[in-house]
Amino acid sequence: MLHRRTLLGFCTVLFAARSVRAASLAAPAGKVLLTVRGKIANTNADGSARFDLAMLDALPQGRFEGETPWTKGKTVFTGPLGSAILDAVGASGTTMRVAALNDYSADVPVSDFRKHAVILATRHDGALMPVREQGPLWVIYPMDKEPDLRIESTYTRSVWQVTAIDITG
Amino acid sequence: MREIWRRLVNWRQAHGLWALAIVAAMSLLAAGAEFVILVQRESQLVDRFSDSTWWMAAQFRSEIQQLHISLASYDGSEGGLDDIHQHYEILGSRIQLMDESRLDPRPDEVLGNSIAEVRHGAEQLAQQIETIKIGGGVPRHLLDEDIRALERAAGRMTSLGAQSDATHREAVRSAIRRANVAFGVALAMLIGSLLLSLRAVDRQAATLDAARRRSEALGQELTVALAQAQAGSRAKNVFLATMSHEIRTPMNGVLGATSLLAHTQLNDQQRRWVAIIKACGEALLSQLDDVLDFSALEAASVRLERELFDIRTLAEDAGRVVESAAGANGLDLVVVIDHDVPAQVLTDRRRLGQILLNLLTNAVKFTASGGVSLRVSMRRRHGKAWLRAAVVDSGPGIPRADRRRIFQEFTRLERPSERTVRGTGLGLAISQRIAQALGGRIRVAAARGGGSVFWVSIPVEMPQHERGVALAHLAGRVAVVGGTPGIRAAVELLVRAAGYEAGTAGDGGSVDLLLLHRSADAPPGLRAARQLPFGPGTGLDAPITAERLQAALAGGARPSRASVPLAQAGRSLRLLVADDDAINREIAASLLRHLGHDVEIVSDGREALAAVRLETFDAVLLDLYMPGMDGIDLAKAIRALPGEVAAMRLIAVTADADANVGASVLAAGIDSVLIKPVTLERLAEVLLPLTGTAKPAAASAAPPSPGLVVDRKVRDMLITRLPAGRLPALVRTFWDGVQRVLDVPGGLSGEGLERWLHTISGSAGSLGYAAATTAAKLAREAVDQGVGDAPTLSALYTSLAAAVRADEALLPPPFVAMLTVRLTEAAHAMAQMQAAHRQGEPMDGRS
Repeated sequence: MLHRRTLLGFCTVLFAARSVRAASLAAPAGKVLLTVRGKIANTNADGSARFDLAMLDALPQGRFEGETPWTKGKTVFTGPLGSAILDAVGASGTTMRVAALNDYSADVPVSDFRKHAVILATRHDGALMPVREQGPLWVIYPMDKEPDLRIESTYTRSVWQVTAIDITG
Repeated sequence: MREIWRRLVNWRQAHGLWALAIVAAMSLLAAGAEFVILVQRESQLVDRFSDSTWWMAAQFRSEIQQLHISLASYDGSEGGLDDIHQHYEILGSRIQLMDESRLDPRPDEVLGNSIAEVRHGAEQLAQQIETIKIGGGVPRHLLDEDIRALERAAGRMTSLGAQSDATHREAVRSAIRRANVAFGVALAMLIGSLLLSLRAVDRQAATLDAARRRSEALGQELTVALAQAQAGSRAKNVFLATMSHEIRTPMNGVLGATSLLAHTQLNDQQRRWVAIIKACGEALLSQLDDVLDFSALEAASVRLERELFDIRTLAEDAGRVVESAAGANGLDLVVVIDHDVPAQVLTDRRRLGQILLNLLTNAVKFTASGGVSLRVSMRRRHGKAWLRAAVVDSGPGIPRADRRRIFQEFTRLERPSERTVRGTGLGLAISQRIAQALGGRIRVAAARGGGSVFWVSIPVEMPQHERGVALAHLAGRVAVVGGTPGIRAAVELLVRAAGYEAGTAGDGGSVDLLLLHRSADAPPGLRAARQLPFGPGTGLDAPITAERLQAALAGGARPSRASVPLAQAGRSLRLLVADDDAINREIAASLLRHLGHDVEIVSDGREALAAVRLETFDAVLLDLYMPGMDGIDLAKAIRALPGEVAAMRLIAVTADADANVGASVLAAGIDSVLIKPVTLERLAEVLLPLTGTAKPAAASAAPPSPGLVVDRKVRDMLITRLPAGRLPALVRTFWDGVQRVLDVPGGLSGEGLERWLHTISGSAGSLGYAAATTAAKLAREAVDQGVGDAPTLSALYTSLAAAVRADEALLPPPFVAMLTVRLTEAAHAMAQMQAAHRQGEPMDGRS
């Protein structure tokens, strides 16, 4: 009996915390750059969480400094940490389908965002990225700090022109 | 040709090692190659970073089609325009990515042109898109021509990209195949190298094994060879010893005949020749003795004796032996015995004496001027007491290179100036072997101030209470001047030992006594209360011993050699001497009378028994071996007598020192045993319980020296104790007795022989003929045991011949010569008899 009551109490607290967070996810004021769907707890539209640039900038930021296979020379990418976005939406799945403007998509394990300081870059060398330059969002793995990430699967998951993340599983 | 062959053989020998080295290098190369190949392969894979050309082209083509669709479906709305714009932007991003430099592989010319064409087409579109933006609608030709042309170009680019990728993949695959082949070759090399090295190791092991087997076989051969060589060496020694022995006998004949010849009518020339024959003969005999001795030592058949003896006497006696030779050369001769040398030590007296004598003889022989000194000292090392005797000479010295060689047998250093020195060159070899047999060693070094120092060091034991002689108190200052440094140092040691302070002449001032060598002048600044010359021809001459020096220092004359006052005080006894041998009888009686006793003599047991019946003596000295009634029977008879006569003190006199005699003697009731030769000290000692006289200080009588022809100690005692003129008479009596035996037709045999041997072993010992005594005892044992007595009799005759020659001065020369010849003949006859006997019975173990 005691166990059941304790468990019940714990669930109540957990639910309360989620409710508080759901309430905290404000609606986007500007142009929506990213839409997160699927197994998420916090939403600001029907069944999805939408982010404009200001919301993304408000999240904890990450920084990449180095070379990528797609850019010339040393470059700097900055943007919100993938894990921060997952936290913001209260994601509970294991796999994300990261989709791009051109309908390209890659399946990325949620654990990638948890284990590595992956960012959704909003800026390239300090400037916002237009679509012509793979903007507005680009999944950048911390290959500068973890050289082991310079492998094909990482490159496949480094989706550019990201518009949506669908959390499943 | 031969050179080439030799090199080839050398190469083949080194071949195993070379093969190993080559194999090792190959393995190293192969391993290195494999590493390089693997690294290359990995980098090939890592380099495949970028997307394939085909993928880029296909994506691009897809974007064009997307743009085409959005253009075609444009309805003039805002959303439609945004859609067109977005697709155009995406297309633009694709163009950016299609940078030639990032494509892998780098596009060939055809593909490059195609990409350029596509890029150009896309840029052309930009203007049209801007027109749409402004609101001009979608121009018709854009749909129909431009975009279709771009689509066609993109399609072409995709095909070319696919071809390029295919070509690249083939290139990569063939590169990988090449790498695999290289890898395979390297792997094969590595495996081959391993196999080769295994084979090389196997080969080396086989070679080593063969070498080991060869060396084992060689070792066995060597063992066999060594055994053969040793057998050969033993055979050589036996041969040498036999030869020497066989030569001795005729040599005695030669010498005897030479003596006879010398006493006939000869002219001067002939006399000189005879003298040469005699000198050479004697030298040859002494060399034979050396050879015999050396052979015995080589064969390790020498039995070492251990006895307690007076080392001082031994050393001083050795000095006396070379005294005349040193005097003839005008050499100083000093014998120093350190104060811590005990009065008695335990080792082989005769052998040690032999070494000392040999070293001294050599030193005197090779020293032309100056002096020779012998110093005896004690050392304690490794918990043992070491007796050390150093003989220092002022001779020419021995070159360092020769110092080891001189101890080898038959070695004589060539010295042009000393051609006259004779000898076998065995002396030092013999000395060294003796020293080694005694557990010691012998060495030579350069003496300070020129010359050599030979020292022998031998471990000795000594009685617990032996402490050496304490130094006396300082009795005054003595300066020693002149002589060689070695002699001076030795004399100074003696001076100190005598309790004086030895000063040198250089320190000026005054001394109580100046010891001045006869060849030196007194130093000018030195005042001496007394001055004493030393050196050859002076009062203090060779050998200078502690005794003589002390006497000289005390101001007295040279001390008499045996001045022990034995006969003083004590009770005078009435004694009976029973001995069948006249000489023994007389000597014993003379000595006893000298001791102050009253002596009656009888010649056999029966007479003795008759005498004791008439008169009670204080003691009876009875010879154990007498014809008729022997000593044992006599003792039993006396003990069986009634009255107090039976309690008389009975002293057995015998030449036998063995234990059997002791047992039977005690059973017969004899009180004590006196071993021959009878000496003053022994007599005094054995009579001590009756006389009550304190034991004389010098009474520690030395045992006989079995090897000497004439034992000088015994002879000295006889000279001083016997009435004047008695010794020559007794000697003559002895030799007359020998002559009578030789006169017996067919020689003595049976009981007669036995009796004579007994008599002669007693009387020869009494007269100091030590070697003859030993020979007689051996002959007696041989007769007793019934084994072949010929060899021992031969030896007895030989030693008698030597003895009679040694006493030439005491006997008429023709008599000596005659006896020498007859004894030699007898020895020879016995030797021949032995030879005949040996041929008849080859298994005679005693020869």
